[in-house]
Amino acid sequence: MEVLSEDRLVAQAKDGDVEAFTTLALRYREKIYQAIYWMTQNPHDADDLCQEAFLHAYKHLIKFKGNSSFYTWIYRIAVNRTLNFLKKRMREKKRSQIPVEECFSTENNAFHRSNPEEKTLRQELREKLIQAIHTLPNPYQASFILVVLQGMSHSQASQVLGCSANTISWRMFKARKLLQSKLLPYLGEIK
Amino acid sequence: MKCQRIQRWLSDSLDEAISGKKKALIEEHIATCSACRTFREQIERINEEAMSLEAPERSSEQSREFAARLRSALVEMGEKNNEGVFHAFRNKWVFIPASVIMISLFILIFVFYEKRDFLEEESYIFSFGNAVEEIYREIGDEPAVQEAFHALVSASLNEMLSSTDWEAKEEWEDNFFLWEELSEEELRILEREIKNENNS
Repeated sequence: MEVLSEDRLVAQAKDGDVEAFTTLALRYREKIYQAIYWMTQNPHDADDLCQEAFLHAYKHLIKFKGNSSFYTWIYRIAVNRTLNFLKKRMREKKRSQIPVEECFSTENNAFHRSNPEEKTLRQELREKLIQAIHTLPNPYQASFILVVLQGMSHSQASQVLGCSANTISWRMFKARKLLQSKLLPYLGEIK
Repeated sequence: MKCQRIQRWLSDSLDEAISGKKKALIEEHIATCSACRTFREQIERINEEAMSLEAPERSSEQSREFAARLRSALVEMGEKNNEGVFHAFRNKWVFIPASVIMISLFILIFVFYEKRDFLEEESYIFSFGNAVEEIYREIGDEPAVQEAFHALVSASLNEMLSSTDWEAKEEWEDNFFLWEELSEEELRILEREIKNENNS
């Protein structure tokens, strides 16, 4: 089966081709879902926001002029909507309390290889790290998630967040300083 | 060199956003600064742990569900858009002719509005006869009302004929609508007056 280019799919979607847009959505959905998930720490919110982002993108596809890649554009929509959602959630103080262990899978191969004592210490550090990421100011949190958890360069993250690469560099530094100060008691215990 | 600047470069170096020249300066500084060395170790540890965090995997079943939900929402959205009155105007081949028609209509309405005085005058002439007809329809077969109306018209005629305003008299005589609608008695009065006038 022919793999259509992003440009071609975008052009078809602009003409109202729902299948072309769904193909695009499935191509980028996983990454976008994960970014939203890291930010909201709630799978239901992440699901809803992910779908909303794609619907918003489809509705406003005519405004996409191709100055950036479609991937960056949809990422930007998703992150902006998630940041707005987080602001609203903070205001309403109805933050859903999902247990930390349900938010992230803290188990991976390296984790399994650790001895029981180290395993407990690392688990504790990870739980504290998740909480600490969640308490970062939104711009720092979004930058940290995009760069560290999503593997974006400063330049890519700057396009998504609509700021300069230098701003991302500064936010990353500040985010790391904040995380370091919050996790200081736990960092010394890791060997 | 200030530690803050070095620490920012250390943060950049973790994201591979730093030049080789700066890397050399970092190493030079780190060799003698234990605070920055500790900072590097700690942020490296944080990075390592953060990168090992995993969001839950989405199963292929969940992906299919997502695609189905999205497709359905997109179709619904498309249908709603198509229902909109202005949806068709997004197409330039609809927008341009529609604009021309709308502008033409606007001009026609404007012209009609400007000529309305003339049209109203025309309709006034015809509505006078209609008004007289309407009066007689309203009176109907009521003898009392008919008598009262004729009395009123007779009084008006007498007043008119006793007047010295000859222009007004001529206007009366030329107005066939009134002639047609006058009663026998009113016509006799007029006839008598015309004879008198001719004799004098």
